[in-house]
Amino acid sequence: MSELIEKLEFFLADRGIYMLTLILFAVAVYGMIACGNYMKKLMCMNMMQVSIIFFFLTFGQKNGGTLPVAIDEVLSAEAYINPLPHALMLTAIVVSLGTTGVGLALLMRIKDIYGTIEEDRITGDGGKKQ
Amino acid sequence: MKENKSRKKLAAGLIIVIIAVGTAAVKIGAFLPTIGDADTPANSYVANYYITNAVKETHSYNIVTAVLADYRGFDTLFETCVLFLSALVTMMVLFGKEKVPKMPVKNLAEDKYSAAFGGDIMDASFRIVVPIILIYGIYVLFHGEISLGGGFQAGALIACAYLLDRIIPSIRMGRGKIKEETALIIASMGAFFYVITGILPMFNGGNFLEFAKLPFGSSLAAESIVKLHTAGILMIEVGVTVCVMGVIIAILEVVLERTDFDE
Repeated sequence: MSELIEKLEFFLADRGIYMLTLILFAVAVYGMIACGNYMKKLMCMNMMQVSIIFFFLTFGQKNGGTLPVAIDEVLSAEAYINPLPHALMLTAIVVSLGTTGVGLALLMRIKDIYGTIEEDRITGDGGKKQ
Repeated sequence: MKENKSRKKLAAGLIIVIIAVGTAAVKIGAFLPTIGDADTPANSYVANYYITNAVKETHSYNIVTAVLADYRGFDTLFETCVLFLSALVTMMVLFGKEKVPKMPVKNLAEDKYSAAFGGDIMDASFRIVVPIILIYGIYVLFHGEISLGGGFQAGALIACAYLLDRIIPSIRMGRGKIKEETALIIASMGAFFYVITGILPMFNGGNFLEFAKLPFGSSLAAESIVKLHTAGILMIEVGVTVCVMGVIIAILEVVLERTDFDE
């Protein structure tokens, strides 16, 4: 059992986190295609954004590096992790909030017009027009 | 129903393809770098320049803030504009929809002990939590330059305090809220403050967003430049904070005013 855990740890430390983000991405893609409810589709889109953000953040990791807050004596590049993915993803998170807001607004308009946000009732003749 | 099933089949096929490609990339191909390796392309070129020169050039100890507010100032400026635009679009899409009429506020003495959302414990505990969140938000704003934090996080925290105050207590219904138009104006003020910070150095012979030429100090001594950089980064952070706060409150108010929870 401990051997298995060691193997798992090695796998995750080597390239395994890519697999985990990929699984999250795959779940989100499956949800976006398979769910009939637009709200669930929006949530899956958010999940996809989160997986992309994780994927970028793994690039910033560095063995033996500390937080990118400079200490006076230490100025070498090996001592800190890469600050660039963090700065980029910080803005990406906030923009994902904005896209979620726009998506929610559009969903509310769809609900107004069709009376439902289920896809098969909107595309079929089940939706009642007002 | 049949269509739904075929769609699920298609999705499952797509997932298998994704997993297979990913496994191949991770196991066989070496084009994804090992995690934690210091020699990968992502960790090599401009990132090392940022780390070694950020303190010297921008006088900001938090390198993420240095990258965000100084090296990539234009990027953050338009990021703020994108945020503002998203709030504007949300409001434009929903503007024609009529608001859900609020329940009339009952007698306060009667209503005191019935919370609308979460019950009495939530109602009592949020009174303790909200001031702490506000203080932490302000701290994160002003310490974003020398320790962890920054404008985006501070704005999200302050808006979070407002959100708790808005949705938890019942006796506040219809009182003490910010109108959606006001929130949008606040957000636009934040973005405008950012632009003003960029334009100010131009009166002193500098470029757009060149903090060393801000027209506050007169001397060109090294100490003065440090102070000017600090002031410029702080002004940008304040602008970003106000913008993020306004955007979150605007989106919240627009959606909340038009949602019928009883449906």
